[in-house]
Parts: sequence; structure tokens; C-alpha cells
Amino acid sequence: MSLRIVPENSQATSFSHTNRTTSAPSAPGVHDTLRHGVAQSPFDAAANKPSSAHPLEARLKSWEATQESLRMETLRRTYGIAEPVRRGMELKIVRDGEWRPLALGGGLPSVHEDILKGREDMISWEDVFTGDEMRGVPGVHDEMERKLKMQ
Amino acid sequence: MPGFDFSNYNRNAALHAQGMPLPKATSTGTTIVGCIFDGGVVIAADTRATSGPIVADKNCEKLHYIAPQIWCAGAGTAADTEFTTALISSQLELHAMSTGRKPRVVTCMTMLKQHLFRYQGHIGAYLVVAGVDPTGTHLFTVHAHGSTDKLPYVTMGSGSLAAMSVFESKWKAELTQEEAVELASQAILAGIWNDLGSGSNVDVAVITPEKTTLKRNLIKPNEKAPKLQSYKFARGTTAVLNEKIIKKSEIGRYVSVQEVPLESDKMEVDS
Amino acid sequence: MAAMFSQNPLMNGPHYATTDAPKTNNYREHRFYPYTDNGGSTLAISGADFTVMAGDTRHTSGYSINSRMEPKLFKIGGTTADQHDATIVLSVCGFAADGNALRDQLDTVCKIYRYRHGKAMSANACAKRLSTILYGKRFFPYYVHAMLGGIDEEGKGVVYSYDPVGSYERETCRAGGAAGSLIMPFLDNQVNFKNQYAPGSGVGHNLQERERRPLLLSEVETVVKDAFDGAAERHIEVGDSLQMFILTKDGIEEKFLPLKKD
Repeated sequence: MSLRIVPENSQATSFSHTNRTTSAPSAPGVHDTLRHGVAQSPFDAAANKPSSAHPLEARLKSWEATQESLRMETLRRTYGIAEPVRRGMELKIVRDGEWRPLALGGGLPSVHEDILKGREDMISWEDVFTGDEMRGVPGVHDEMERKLKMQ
Repeated sequence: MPGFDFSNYNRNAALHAQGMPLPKATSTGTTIVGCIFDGGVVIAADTRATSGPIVADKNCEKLHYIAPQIWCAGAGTAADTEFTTALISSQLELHAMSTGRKPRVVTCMTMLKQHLFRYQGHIGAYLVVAGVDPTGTHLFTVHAHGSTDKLPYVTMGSGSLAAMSVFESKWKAELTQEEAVELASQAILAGIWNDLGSGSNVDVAVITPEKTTLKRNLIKPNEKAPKLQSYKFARGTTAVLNEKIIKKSEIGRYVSVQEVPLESDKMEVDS
Repeated sequence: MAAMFSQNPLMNGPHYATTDAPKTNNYREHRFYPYTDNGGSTLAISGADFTVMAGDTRHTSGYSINSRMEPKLFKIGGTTADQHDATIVLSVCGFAADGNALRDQLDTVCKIYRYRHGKAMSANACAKRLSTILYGKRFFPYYVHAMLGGIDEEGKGVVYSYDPVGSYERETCRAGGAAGSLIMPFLDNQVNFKNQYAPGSGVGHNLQERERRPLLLSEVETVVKDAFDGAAERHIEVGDSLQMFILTKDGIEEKFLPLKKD
């Protein structure tokens, strides 16, 4: 366990746009605009994969996780393993109780989650540019089928 | 994933490698300065915005509001200074409401540097942050990569050397408000005359514990020279190949018209 | 700290596009580049019995002003160094050092012609000679947009304009340099009356264009000053002073007018 403040340089040296999960079954490797919209698919977004080889994107994607792990590591060293475990459990409870379909604006952190993370008095570009406008909204059935691994 | 959209990066990188130029953002090739005086702080800016060698805006505003007693002068990419100061302004407001205290300049400066450091200089905002808070008068500069300075007098932008030459020769430790405004204006004027990226007018903001005074266009040394002759054309000079008149009574043929009753002109709001 | 970033977009400013030059096979090529652009604009208009040559006097590099009074219009081919009896004016815009070299070379050629033939070079002959000089450096060109103004054998005003490698053309008016593309459409409309029609002269495609007539000297001077005032408003490399040469059969008159200095 390290006390890393900024994410390590995880910039991809190569990038492939064909191995996405947003293809139509009949045309693997080709982004299906009709099903998934012009932007990155919400399912890809949930997987938190960078959509480019830009050095900044990988850094921003892992920024919050790095900060969180630093916080948890500090807590562990101060209070013992029980503290980060308790916080993790609280977060999981709140997340599981707050599930909303993507079609109704799910996927973004809830107020309760924000409070637990100490972000309730913060605003960042992630709150302004939610990326909802360009993205195709998946149907509830589609989402549930994926969630329950039926698809 | 929320946040900035990188989806065109790979395509643009590929196009750039083929020799296509990338789009150029409007830059405020700028002179901005700040100076502390006895009882407050003053910041000033020129008003030229450029796009390459062309003047994009002759009278733009480079002094940005953060909080009532905290203001920011911005140089660098115009959009970056505008959006960064707006975001930090919102964040500082939230923070002030959460803590129930007046926002502090160091808080603002720390938020700015942490935000800019996260973006590794890709957000090209070069800022002078100034303000008065319960802990006193403060003046900082913040660079795009996240480094900051705390100094009694600061300059930034492409005209920073011209402006600094004025401070270095005329600045003294005890300044009155009038002297500080005059000194900052002179520094901006040095940038306006000697730096091609700066020009037009001088904007000044004076922040004291009591109030903030924004002196927009305090000095206007570059009024446009009047044209020596009129360039009005005689009516009919422009060729008209086709003319068609649509009467108001027949407008329903082209668009759908709905009569709005007079009494319902109030906007519907949740009661 | 401030010194780490020059703040000059031409060097390392916020323009992300300029710093990452395309690389071939992962090698970035560095080479000696002897040219710079010293900005400024020039303008020439020929009338019925006169020619007006004009140019601003600002000399720049990057975002800096090197001089506020560095003329880019030169009298050519007088008997002495002070050029008091010259009849031709050369204007050069672009790389100032090349402009000076070109002026010296053309002036020398004109002076040698005068000593050999006992008369001044005609504008027509000088124009051809300038073209030849420029083409002589076809593979290491003078980085200038040159213009030559004079009075022809019939007493009419002439303007010749050149590209950097010697292609030239006789024209009634031409604007060149940094703000050339800003001024030229204005000249098309005000000097050549382009896109202007005679009011009430017809309907639709039968409309008659406004009749062309050569401008008077006073009109030309007004248009030139207004053109440069407009260019100084919108182009950062244009300003300080306007140098104007008025060439007539009686000689050359020089004028300086103020422009914006920001």
C-alpha cells in the first residue's frame, strides 16, 4: 500500500477503437450509433475506460481513485483496518440503496454518496459536463439484461 | 463518464500527424497586474483579445468576479480563464455556505492551484488573484501548471515584462489607494504600448475591506480615429436580383401562428 | 517563477497547437531557418497622373516592437544617396533585412543604368529588372512582398506588384503584407468600385455596374488613411505611423501621418 498523491502515468501507448462493447452483433468492431449514441456508450463509461490516448484523460480517470486510496491508507495506518472497511461498507450500502436506471439519470453519485465522500460542498467539471447530452440513453430492459448478465 | 470529452483526441492526433493544423483558441495575449496598498489591493488589465495577429475583441473584460471581495485577472486562453474562475467562484460560494464564513483568498488560491495542477497545464489559465478577507489583504499569481507566488506587486501575460519594468522603477512600500491605482494603470499602459498582444483600454478593480470598486475603462487612450469620409452607399447600390414581400396577414402560410391572449403574458412558475 | 513562462504564445504560450510539431518516424527535424516576419503593411494606388505608395512604419518580431519608425518605402535610382531626384519608389513588406538588401541591389542597378545611359531608368524597365533580381534568388528567395511605383512614359501612374520569386503584374491598386488581406477587399470596393451598381439603372441582371473612373489624388489620400486606420484597429502588427509617397511628374512628395500606437 502506497501513499501516492497523484496517479502514476498510465497513459496508453497504443489505442484500439475496434475492441469496444458497443458494436452491433452483426458488425463486430464497429460502433453502433443507433443503439449507443454518438458519444461513448454509458456501459463503457461505467467500466471507466479512457476513450483516447490523451495523457490527461488517463490521469483524470484515476484521479479520484488515487485520492480515495490515499485517504483510506492514511486512515488504516492511524486507526487500523476497521476504519477503511467501515467506510467502504457504508459507501456500498448507500450505493446499493440508491440504484437508479441510467434512463432516469443513474450512474452519477447521489447526495448521500457525496456526503460520505466529503464532496457535498464541492463542484467540479464532472458535475457540469455530465456527458448526458451526446450519449444514447439505454432502455431499462437492456440495462437490466446486462446487469443480470443475461446478454 | 462525466467530465471533459476526449473522444475526438485520437482522430485529431491522426489528422495532425497528416499535417492538418489543430484549431487555435482565442488567447488573451495580455497585460495583467496587481499591487497591494495600505488598506487594500488593486488589480488591473488591458482589454485586447487576440486570435493570432488579429484583434478579436477591442474591449473585452479580463477582470473576473470570484466573490464580492475577491477578484481575478486572467491571461492565457480566454475560455480557460473564464470557465476556471467561474467554477472556482461557485466552489468558493458552496464552501462559504458550508462553513458559514466569508471566503478567504488563500482558499481561492489553493482551489485554483489544485484544480490547475490536476490538469497538468492543459488548462491554460494564468491568473492574478487578489482580495480582502478577515485575515487581511492578499495578492497571488497562479500559473497554468499550478505554481503560485505571493508578492506585493505582480504582473502576468505577454506584457508582463513591460508592466514589471514600471513596478520595478516606481513601486514603493507605502502607497495610498490613489497612488496604487495610478501605478497599476501606468504598468498596464506600458503593456498596451509596448506589447503587441495587449492594447485598447485600462480596467481597474480596487478592493478594500469595505467594498470593491470596478473601474471599467478607467483610461481610454486608444479611441478609434474618425473616418475621413463617409462610406454610406446611395440606396440601390447593392444589386437586388429577386424581391418577395410577405404580408403579416399571410404569414400563416409559411409558419404556424398561434394567437397569444393578452392576459397570459406572465411566465408560468411553480408556486 | 514568472520567468519560467515567457507568456509569449509564439514561444510557449497557451497555444497547444504550436508546440507539438508533427514528427516523422518519431524524429523531430530541427533546421536553420534564416527568415523572420517583421510585420507591417504596404499599399499602392495608381491614378491618372500620379501614384500613391504607402506603408506603416512599425517593425516587429513576435509580440515585440523593434522600432516605431522604420520605413519600408524607399526612393530608388536617384543620382545621389539622398535620392532627391528619384522618380521611382520601392516598397518592401515581410522580412525587413531582405527588403533592405533588395532595395540596395535595385538602387545600385538603377544608378549603374543612369551612368551608362545618361538618363534615369523608366518605371517599366525598372519593374522588369526587379523581377529578374527576384527570380535570380528563386531557390533562396527574398522573403518580401515588393511593390514598385512610378510614372510611365505616357505620364500615367503605374504600380507593379511582385511575389517573392519575381512574378509581377501592373495593377491599379494593391495592398500587401500582414494586413493585406484586410485592406484589399476595401480597395476593390472603393478604388475599382467592385460590387457597386448604379441605382435605378435596371432590374435584376440588367442592373448596370457603377461607372469606373480614376480617383482624384485627394480621394486616394483619404482612402489610404482610412484603410490604414482600419488595419491598425484590427491587426496587431500595423500601427505607429503612416508613411506616404505621392509620385507625380514634378517629383516625389513624402508625408507622415499618425496611426494608433497600441
